[in-house]
Amino acid sequence: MMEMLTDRQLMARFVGEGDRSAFDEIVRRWDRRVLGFLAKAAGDLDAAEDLRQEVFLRVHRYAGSYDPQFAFATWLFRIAGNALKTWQAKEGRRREVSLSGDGTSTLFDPVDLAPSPRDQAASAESGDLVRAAIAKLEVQERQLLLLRFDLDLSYREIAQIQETPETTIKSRVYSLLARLRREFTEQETLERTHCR
Amino acid sequence: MNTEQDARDRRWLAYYLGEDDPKDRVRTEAELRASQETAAQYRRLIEGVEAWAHEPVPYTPLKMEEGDLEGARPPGESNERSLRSRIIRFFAPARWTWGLAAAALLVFAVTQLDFTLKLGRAELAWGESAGSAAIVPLGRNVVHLQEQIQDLALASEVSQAQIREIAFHNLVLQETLRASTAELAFYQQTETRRRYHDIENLMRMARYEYPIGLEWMDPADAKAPQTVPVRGFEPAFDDFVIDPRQRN
Repeated sequence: MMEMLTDRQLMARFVGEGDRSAFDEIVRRWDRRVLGFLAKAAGDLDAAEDLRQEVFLRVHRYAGSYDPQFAFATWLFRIAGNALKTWQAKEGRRREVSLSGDGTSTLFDPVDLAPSPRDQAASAESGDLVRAAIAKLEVQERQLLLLRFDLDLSYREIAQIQETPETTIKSRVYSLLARLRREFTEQETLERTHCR
Repeated sequence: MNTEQDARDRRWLAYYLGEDDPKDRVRTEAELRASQETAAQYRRLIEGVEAWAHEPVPYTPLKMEEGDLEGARPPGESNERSLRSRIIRFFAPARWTWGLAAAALLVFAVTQLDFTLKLGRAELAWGESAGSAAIVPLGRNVVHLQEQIQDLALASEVSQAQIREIAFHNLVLQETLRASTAELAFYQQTETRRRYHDIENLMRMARYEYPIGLEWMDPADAKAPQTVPVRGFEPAFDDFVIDPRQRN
């Protein structure tokens, strides 16, 4: 029954009727994505698990302030972004994503993207370089990439989450990617020089 | 990086992200064909970012127990209440302020106490001792005295002003008296002369002779009075005799 309802309907039931099962369904539906978002943005799985709980506690506490005219995801990830900001302030320093230089991740399993073994090797290598470049980004920058590429949110929705004009968000994403490309190209050049 | 390269970066990224303008597509594809290596870098970058973004993380489902939600507000409440409670919390005194107030009260109470504590030979006299107790009224008296001196100084100033005023009036009165005396003397002299002439005329009318200005003469010369005959008039009555020498 609950599975059939949209996020807005679930929130309405939870807020209007205090239906705990609606809240549980919301948690079940978004838990994995929120955790992934927090873990990749913060670069710390343990911290992300604590933050995830904090995010859903805030959802429970401030459910009454949710405006159904906006997508639930924008509201949820605004809360997640605020939780990240608070965490980052507490940490007092940027924490690098714990990815080792040899391409093995301490957090996540590498993802197989390449169709052929050769391409797979090249892609895995490229992927590592990209990850290494991403690891050097700020939490807020990684958050922006995740909103765009992981959650597939539109620039408008990201703008709503970050309370920034849409054009600014788009410009930031492009600037970030251009920066990553430069970093990535430099790394590739270095690797090739090293191999020779 | 120059502007042209910036624009190319944006165009190529937009192409790989599927956000490019269809008008630019032909041009972009031509550029990508011309520099395949760079194009491959862009492709790998986008793929790498997407792979990173979609990469799964070790997942354990979240368990939200009732205890976790105890601190959370019931879902039916609006955000206004939260705002109200936040405002109340902001203006309400913090817990430590109660402690501070209690400590201040205690210090105040102790400073008001007056007691003596004896432990063997040691003696603690807390509060006002006899000496310090005498200083307090003395201080009050000094203050009172100061006030009185100030009042006195003020009164003295007023008195000095009054004295100066009285002295002035005195001077004016003296001057008035001097002038009045001089005027009186003048009038008296004039009156005397007029009376003298009247008497003289009266005596002439009575044809009486009398020594001229006898009363004004030196007494030594008054032995042989000179008489002035009054002519042209006959005395009206025989017994009407006026002799100035018989006055007194």
